[in-house]
Amino acid sequence: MKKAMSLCLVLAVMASLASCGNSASTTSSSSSETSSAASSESSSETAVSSDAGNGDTVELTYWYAWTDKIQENNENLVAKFNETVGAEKGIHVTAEYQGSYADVHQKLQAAYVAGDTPDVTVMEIASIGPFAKNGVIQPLDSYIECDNVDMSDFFDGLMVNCEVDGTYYGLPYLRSTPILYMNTTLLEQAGLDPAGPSNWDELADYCRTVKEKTGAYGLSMYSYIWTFEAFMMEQGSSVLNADETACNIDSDECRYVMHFFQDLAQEGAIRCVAGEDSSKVDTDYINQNTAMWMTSTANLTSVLSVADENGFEVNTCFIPENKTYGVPTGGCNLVMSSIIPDEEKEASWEFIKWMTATDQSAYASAYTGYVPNSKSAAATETITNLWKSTPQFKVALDQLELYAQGRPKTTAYSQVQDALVAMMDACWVNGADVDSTVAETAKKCNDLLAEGN
Amino acid sequence: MQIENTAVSRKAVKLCVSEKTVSGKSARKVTTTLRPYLMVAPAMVIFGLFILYPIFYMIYLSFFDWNLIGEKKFIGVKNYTHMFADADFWQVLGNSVYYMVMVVILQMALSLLLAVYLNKNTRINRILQSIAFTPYITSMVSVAFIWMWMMDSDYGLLNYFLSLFHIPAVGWLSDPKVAMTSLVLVSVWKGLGYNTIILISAMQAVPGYLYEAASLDKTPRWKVFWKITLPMISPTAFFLALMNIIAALKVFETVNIMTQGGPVNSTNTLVYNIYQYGFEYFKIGYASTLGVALMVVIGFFTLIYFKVLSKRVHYN
Repeated sequence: MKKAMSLCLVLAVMASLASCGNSASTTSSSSSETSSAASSESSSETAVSSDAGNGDTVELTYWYAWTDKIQENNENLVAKFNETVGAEKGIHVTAEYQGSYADVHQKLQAAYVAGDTPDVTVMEIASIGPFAKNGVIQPLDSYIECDNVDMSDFFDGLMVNCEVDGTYYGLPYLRSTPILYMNTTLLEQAGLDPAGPSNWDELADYCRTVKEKTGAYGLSMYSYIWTFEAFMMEQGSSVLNADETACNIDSDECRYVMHFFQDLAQEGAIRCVAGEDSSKVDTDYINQNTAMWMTSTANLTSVLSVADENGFEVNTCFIPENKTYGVPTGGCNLVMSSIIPDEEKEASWEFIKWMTATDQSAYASAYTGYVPNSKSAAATETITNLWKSTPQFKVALDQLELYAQGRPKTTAYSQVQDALVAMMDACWVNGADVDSTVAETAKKCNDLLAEGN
Repeated sequence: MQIENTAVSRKAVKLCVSEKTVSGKSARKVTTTLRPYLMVAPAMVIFGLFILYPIFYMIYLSFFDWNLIGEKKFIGVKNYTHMFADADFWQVLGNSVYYMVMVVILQMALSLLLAVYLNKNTRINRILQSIAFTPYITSMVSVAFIWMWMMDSDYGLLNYFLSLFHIPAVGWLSDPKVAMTSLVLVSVWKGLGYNTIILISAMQAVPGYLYEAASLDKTPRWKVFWKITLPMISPTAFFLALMNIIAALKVFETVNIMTQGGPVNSTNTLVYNIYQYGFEYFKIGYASTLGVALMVVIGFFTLIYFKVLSKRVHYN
């Protein structure tokens, strides 16, 4: 009967995840000495409130992902909320770290089954579809209308993944786009313009020249679904068709992308590593073993400090243009659970609204490198000053304003993206034949998408 | 001691007497028939709750399309037809079987060799035995991380040694043709000590007079091993191999930490696949179907193994 053990695992894990939802409430809010350093202009645009009268404090639980700067940002903002708007309106938020986005999603799912969810949680933007369609998260339209939130202030590119079938389910919080990072010290050594390549031909030239002149790789990259989405957009295509019922993988655009990087990899001008080896890209750029790499804007602060420690200069630019420019957005929105009492929903909305408002967005952006989520946030002094001192920050926002698009929202996409990563691994890392691999993958993805609808 | 003993027995006598006088003969009969069931009840409740119930619930779920949060949708045997038609399933099954066969053969062969070598009661051997046992008590997670570092294609120790002999670097975990074998190596390395110790203890339980008789006959050493040692330890070896088969079919940690099923699905095993469907794709119904498949596969190999090999095992 030992054979059944592994199957019990599934249920056991579910149970243990479900049980950790409501326990910790003492740990987080105590790290408050950091928040005073951060606060300069305390916001109180939400002054007109109704429920200031009743004395009871509404307790909210808030789940967030990631550690380091992002964690500090979350904890600081929550502490500030509790001191200002929260204190005023009788709301107290407890922030709880949950791991990666995937961890948050898994736990949220288990918590929903157990009937005990957090009130507010971050949600990776491509996952909003399945959670909204299954009724786990609360539609926000009535709250938005009621409070007259100016939705046009948010950048358009961010809003695609906030709505499902025409209804808003989240507000943009820590959002990002991929950008091209460059070690300009290496580029200059190779005699290249540190402004960076502007199109794919130049990108290939840059890679070859860097390899030839310095011995380092021109570009180091791993099989990454997010940048792959950008590559497809830049061919004027996209990974999935408009209504997400089929993929555009079996196309000349996709084959072009696959050949482009496979050729460079086989020449030795760039290095491609497998999806699960993503840390090698970090090792490569830290060791100055590559001149260029692509990653989220969210990493900008940490990249700049690493570069500073290791004595090289970093610049950023758009992911180069081919037929057009184009990048997907990424990061997370704030959403609220659908199964909490109305009173907590009201309070959660206050929290979500505050967290995504102008000043908080500017603060989070400056603290981490995520893009400001609205035009008004981009116009704050915090952000304009930052651009003066570190112009690298501006690239992401420009790219966002001009070219950013959404990510697929269909439930089947989690499996489709694994198939695409396997395709990239096969072609770029293991030198598989592009045409046949692409055809196979396309068929698999189409089957998955057809099944999911 | 004695005082205590008498106290206890006096109590027992008292109990017996009171039982007799109060409830009579028939009640005592009921208690004696019930008693064994009461004794095993806690174990059986736990067994039922955590093993039997999940198995039946899993079989039940395998006929549904369910994402944990939405409505359960009954879809009959569609999950099963999909599974049998899915090339990925056969690849994953093949990976699991390959892994199992390699692990069991290597594990048994190497641990037998090592056991024969270490089966002497000298000080150096006792030290060597403890050293061989260390990997077994190390957490699988740390073992996986250490091997990951050693198998790194750029900065790894193994490729460094290869480079000393001018052998080109191997993509231990990044080459789809090699990755699964690398996982086999880690597992064998980790389990070797345990298997060896168990085999040594079996060897030491072999009665000395058998060897004395053999030495009187001047039997060559390989023949002693073949005709005496091996048959005498065969029940233990049989049990070990069975445990290895089951454990190998259930491999998860190394896959999850070292390769996540990649590169290009080459190290995806049944249990990891179940995890992916359950918690990455949220397809609980299909994950349960794969769970049923795993149960059947393990049952199948266990049965085959019993049928083929049990006749060759020597029980006293």
